[in-house]
Amino acid sequence: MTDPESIPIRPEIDAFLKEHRRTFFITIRKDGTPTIHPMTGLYDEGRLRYSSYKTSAKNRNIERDDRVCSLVLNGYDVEPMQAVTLKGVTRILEGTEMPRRQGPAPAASNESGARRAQAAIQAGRRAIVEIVPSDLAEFIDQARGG
Amino acid sequence: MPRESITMTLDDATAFLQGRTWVALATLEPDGSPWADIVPSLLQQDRLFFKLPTGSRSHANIQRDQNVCCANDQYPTYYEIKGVVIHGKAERIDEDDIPLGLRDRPDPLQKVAGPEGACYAVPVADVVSFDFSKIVRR
Repeated sequence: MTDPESIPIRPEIDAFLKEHRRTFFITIRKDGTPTIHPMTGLYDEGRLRYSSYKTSAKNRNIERDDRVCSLVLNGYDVEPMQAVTLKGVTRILEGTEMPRRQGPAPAASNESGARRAQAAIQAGRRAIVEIVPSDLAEFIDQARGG
Repeated sequence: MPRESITMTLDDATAFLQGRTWVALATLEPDGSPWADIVPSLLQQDRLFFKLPTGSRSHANIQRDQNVCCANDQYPTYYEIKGVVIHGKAERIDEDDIPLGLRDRPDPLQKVAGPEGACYAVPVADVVSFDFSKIVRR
């Protein structure tokens, strides 16, 4: 498998993505229309990762079309709202470890959910998916990009 | 063992969206790949109205391809996670028909009212939802 190149990500955007996990993940459905999957993303080393059941709709979609987009927000009910949109391609990683968390634990931490997800990965029911960014728009400091 | 259904009723999904002032908006780029934005929104009479700047990438995408997806979610605690996703074709709304509640609703990312914005509506028909309070096996 080739290792696709990520676009350069500025340090402040890198820090934002490491700190925040609320993610809207967008894939393309079989009929070519977009769909949104609200979820938790984990960013590190220029890549955004998540785990999901292998048979999930989002994984079926990316197996058919690996072009995706992710919108990462600075939490729930936070003012001012800030966001980063990452566009890129996905690849499904082989492995049995959940992506490593960065930064402080979220307020709505869910240890039992994380344990269940790890167990499902080890049992082969969940896959870890990695998004390699190829385009980016930032909505930080109320400067609208893109 | 089959997974339990955690889908909301349409009434619950509608009530959830009525409490939201914005949605994540997914559109299609010229090559058919996805793009995403945050836009102010308002649910009214089984249609989700949203507004976006006319100079934005999302607006250019919608003008070319009306297929969109809108979503919002909440996550107070794991078993209170809820979310609603709507798919459909965005219909342009004339200036005079923009719901009053949306006219001056600020862009959540810009924090200014958007007189230069274009308004669209999507029918609340093709809906996907989830409500983690319905998870039985904990």
